[in-house]
Amino acid sequence: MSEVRLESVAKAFGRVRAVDGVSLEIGAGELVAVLGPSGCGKTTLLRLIAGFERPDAGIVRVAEAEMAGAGRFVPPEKRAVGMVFQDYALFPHLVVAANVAFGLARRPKAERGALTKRTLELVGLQHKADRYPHELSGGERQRVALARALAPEPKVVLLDEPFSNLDATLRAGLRREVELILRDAEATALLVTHDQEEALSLADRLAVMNEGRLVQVGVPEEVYARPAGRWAAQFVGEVNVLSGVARGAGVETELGVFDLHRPATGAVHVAVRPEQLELSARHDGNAEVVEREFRGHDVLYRLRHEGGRTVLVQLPSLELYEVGARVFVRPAPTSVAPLVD
Amino acid sequence: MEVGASATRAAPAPRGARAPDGWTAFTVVCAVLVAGPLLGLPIAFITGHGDALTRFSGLLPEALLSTLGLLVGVGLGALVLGTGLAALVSFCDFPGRSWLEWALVLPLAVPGYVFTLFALGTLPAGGAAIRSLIGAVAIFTLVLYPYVYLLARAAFLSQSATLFEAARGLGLSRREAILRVGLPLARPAIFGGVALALMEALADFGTVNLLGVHTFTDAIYKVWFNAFDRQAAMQLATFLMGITLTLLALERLARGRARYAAHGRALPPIRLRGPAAAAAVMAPLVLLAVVVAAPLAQLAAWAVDAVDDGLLAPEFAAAARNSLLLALMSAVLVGGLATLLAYGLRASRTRSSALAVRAATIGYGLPGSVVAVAVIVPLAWLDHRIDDASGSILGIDPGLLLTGTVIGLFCAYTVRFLALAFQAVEASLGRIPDELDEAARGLGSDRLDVLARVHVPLIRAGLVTAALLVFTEVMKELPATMLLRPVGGDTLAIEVWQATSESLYRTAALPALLIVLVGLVPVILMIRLSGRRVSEPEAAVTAGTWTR
Repeated sequence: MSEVRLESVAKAFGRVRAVDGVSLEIGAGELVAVLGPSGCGKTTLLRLIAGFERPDAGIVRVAEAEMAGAGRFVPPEKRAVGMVFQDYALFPHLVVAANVAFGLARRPKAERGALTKRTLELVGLQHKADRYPHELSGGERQRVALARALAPEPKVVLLDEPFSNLDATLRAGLRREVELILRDAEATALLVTHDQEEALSLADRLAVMNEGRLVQVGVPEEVYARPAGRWAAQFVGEVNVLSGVARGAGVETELGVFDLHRPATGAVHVAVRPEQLELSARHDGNAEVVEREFRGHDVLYRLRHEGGRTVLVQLPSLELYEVGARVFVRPAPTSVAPLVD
Repeated sequence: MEVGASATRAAPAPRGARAPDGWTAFTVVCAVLVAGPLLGLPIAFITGHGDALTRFSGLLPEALLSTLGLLVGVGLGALVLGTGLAALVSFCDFPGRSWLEWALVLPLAVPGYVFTLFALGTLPAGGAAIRSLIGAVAIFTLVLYPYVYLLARAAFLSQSATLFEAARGLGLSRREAILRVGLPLARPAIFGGVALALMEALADFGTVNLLGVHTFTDAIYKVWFNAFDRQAAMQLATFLMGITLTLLALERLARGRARYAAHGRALPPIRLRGPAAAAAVMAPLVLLAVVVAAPLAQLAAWAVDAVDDGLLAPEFAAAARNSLLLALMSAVLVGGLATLLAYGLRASRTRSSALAVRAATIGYGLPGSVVAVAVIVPLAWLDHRIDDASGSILGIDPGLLLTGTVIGLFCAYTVRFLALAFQAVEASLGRIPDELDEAARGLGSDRLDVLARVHVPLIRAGLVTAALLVFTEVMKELPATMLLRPVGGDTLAIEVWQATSESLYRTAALPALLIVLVGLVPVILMIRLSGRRVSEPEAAVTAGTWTR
C-alpha cells in the first residue's frame, strides 16, 4: 500500500510551471528524497502534498484517500501529514514539550502526555522539555521540529531542506540521527534537498527533479550508476559524458572500450563516473594532469586528454600524481549506462 | 527558496476558478457593513429631495467659511509650532532636552473641548476673548501640534549627518543647512502631520460649539437636533466627508513620497549655552504649563470644589459608568473585529480581501458627526422593517431596536475606530512568519485554532495597544455619541460639554479630569514604546526567539 500517491500533479504560478505533471508513489515506511536544484519545484511538490497549495491538475492521495483532485480539496489540518520546515518554525511562545504536544490537542490528556514524553525520548530531548526554542542549539531545534511533526503519528512526514540551516560539521551526524529517528518511528517520509550527498546517503529511493518534472526515480545506487539522462547524470555526482559507438555488450569511446549495462547498438552517449577510470604514470600517456583536488580518502584529478577534452578521474589517495604529470587513462573493469538523451 | 513558494508569498497570485474562501467572504462582509453607510451618504445626497439645501442655505456659507478658516489657521499654527519644536529638540542640545522631547507629546491627551472648558473658566469675562474663530484656531493649535511635532521629529532624526556635512562643505552655515536641507527633506512628513491635525480639527464638535464657531459639525448638530432634518444633516455630512477625504488623500500623497533614503550616522546636535539654552528650555516648558499642567491643576481644584460643595451633576455616576462600559465594550468589539479582519487578510491572501480591508478601514479620520449620520440611515431603515415585521407577525412593538439603543453607537464607533485598531493589530501580526501558520495547520489546527493558539499569544502587545487606543478614543468621543446616544445614555464627554455650555465649569471639571487621565495612558505607552523602537515580544518573534 502506498502512503502517498501523486498522479500527474501540476501547479503553476503565473507562467512558471513549478510542478509539471509529477507522478510518484511512496510506500509505507519508505524514505524518499526529492533531489533537485533550487527553483526546480521540489518545495512546491511538498506543499502540494501538505495541502498548502492547491494543484491545478492531477490527484494527491495520502493513505489512498484523495486529498486533492478535481473539485476536491482537503485542508492541511485534515490530512494527517507532518511537516518539518527549513527554519523549523517552532512556536516561540511555547516550551519544547508544548511545541511537541501542539498537534495532540484533541487527544485525551493522558494519551497526550504519554505521546509527548515518548516522542521527546525518541529524539533524545526529554531533559529539554521545559526550554523555550530560543534556548536550544540549531540541532536541538531541528529535533524538536521533527518530534513535533512525528508526535501526532502522521501518515507521512515531509521534510523541507531539513539540514540546510545547520553547520556543515554538524550536518553528517544529524543526518544519521534523523534517519535513525525516522526508522525508529517507522515513519513514511519525503525529504526535499538540493544536496546530492544527503539524498544519496539517506534515502531508500531518490526522485531527481528538474524544471517541475521528475527526471528519474530509483534507488540511490541505480540513479548514480545508471542515470537516465545527461542532466540527471551531471546533477547527481560528477560525470564524464562520452560519445561512442555501441556494439552489443560494449561501447567504444575515445578513452577505450567500456562494458554496457544493457546491450545497445549505434552511436550513444555514456555516463562514466570519475571512479570508473584508472590511471597509470606513463611518459607516452594519453593525458596530462591539469588539476588535483585532494579530498582525504580520495583524490579527484582533472586531466586534459590528447583529444582535447577534460576528463575527471577519482582515485584512492594511496598513490598521488603531480600536476603536469603524463598519465595513461583507461576504463576500469565496470559497466556504464547509455544515456537516453 | 523555491520559485513557487516565494511567488505565493509575494503576491496574491490568481488562483484560477475557485470558490471564494470563508475568510475572503468575511472581510468583504465587514467592508460592506463598515464602508457601505459611508458610500450611502453621497447617494442619499443625489437621490434625496433637493429643497433641504435651500432650507439651510443660510447655514451653508458660514459653515463653509468657518471650516475653511479653521483649516487654514490650524494648518499654519500646527505647522509652525510643531515643526519649530521638532527642529529645536532634533538639532539643538540643551539641559532637559531628552525629557522635554517626550513631554511635548503630552498635549495629545487633552481633548479640545477640555482645554476650552479650562480657557472659558479661567479667562476674564467668561472667555469672551476666545469665543471666535481665532480662539478656536489658537486652542486647536495648542492641542494638535503634537501630530506635526512627532512626524517632523522622526523625519529630522532619520536624516544622515553626511547630507548636512555636504551642505556645509558647499558653503552653507549650520542654520542655512537646516533650513535648506533638513526642512525640505522633512517636508512630506511635516505635511502628513498637518493633515492629521486638520482631520482632528474637522472632527471636533465640542470646541467649536462651545466657542460659537459655526463649522460643518456644528451645523450638522443644529439641523439634527433643532430641526430634526436628517436629509439636511446628510447633505452637510457629505460636504464634510468630501473635505476630510481630500485631506486624507493629501496625507497619503505626502506619505507616499516620504522616502528617507539616508539612514546613517545622525547629525550631532548643536549644544546651546547661556541665554539661548535658557530660552530653549523655557519656551516648551511654558507651552506645557499652559496646555497640560495648568488645566490639570485647575480641573483638579474645581473638581475638589465640586465634590465639597455638592456641585457634581446628579448624572455623574451614571455617565461615568456609561463611559466606562461603552469604552470597554467598544475596545473588545472593535479590537476583536480588527483582529479577525487582519487575520482574514492573512488567511485568504486574495485581491478581494485586500480591497475589502482597505474599504473597511476608510472610516478612519472621518468626523464622528459624519459617521453618525451615515450609520443612522441604514439602521433606521432596518429598525422600521423590524418594527413593522414584529408588529404584524408577533403583535408586539419593540420600538427602535437599533437607533434607540447603544447598538447604533457601537456601529458608529466601529466605523470610526476600526482602522485605528486594525493598524495596531496588523503591525504585530505582520511580524509572524507564515511558516508558523503552516506548521500549526499541518498539526491539525484549523484557521481559527491557529489564531487562538499561535497568533493571539504572539501579538498580545498589539492587541492590548489596539484595545487601549479604542478605549481612550471612545472615552473622548463627543459628536457621534451626542447624535446617537440613547435616552439616559450620557457619557463623561457629554457631561463636560453640557456643563461647560451652561458655564458650570466646576461641575464639568471632574469628568474632564477623568477623560484627560485616561487619555494620558496611550500617550505614555507610546512614549515608552518609542524609547525601545520595537517592543520586545515583537522583536523576539522576528528573531525567531521569545523572551518572557
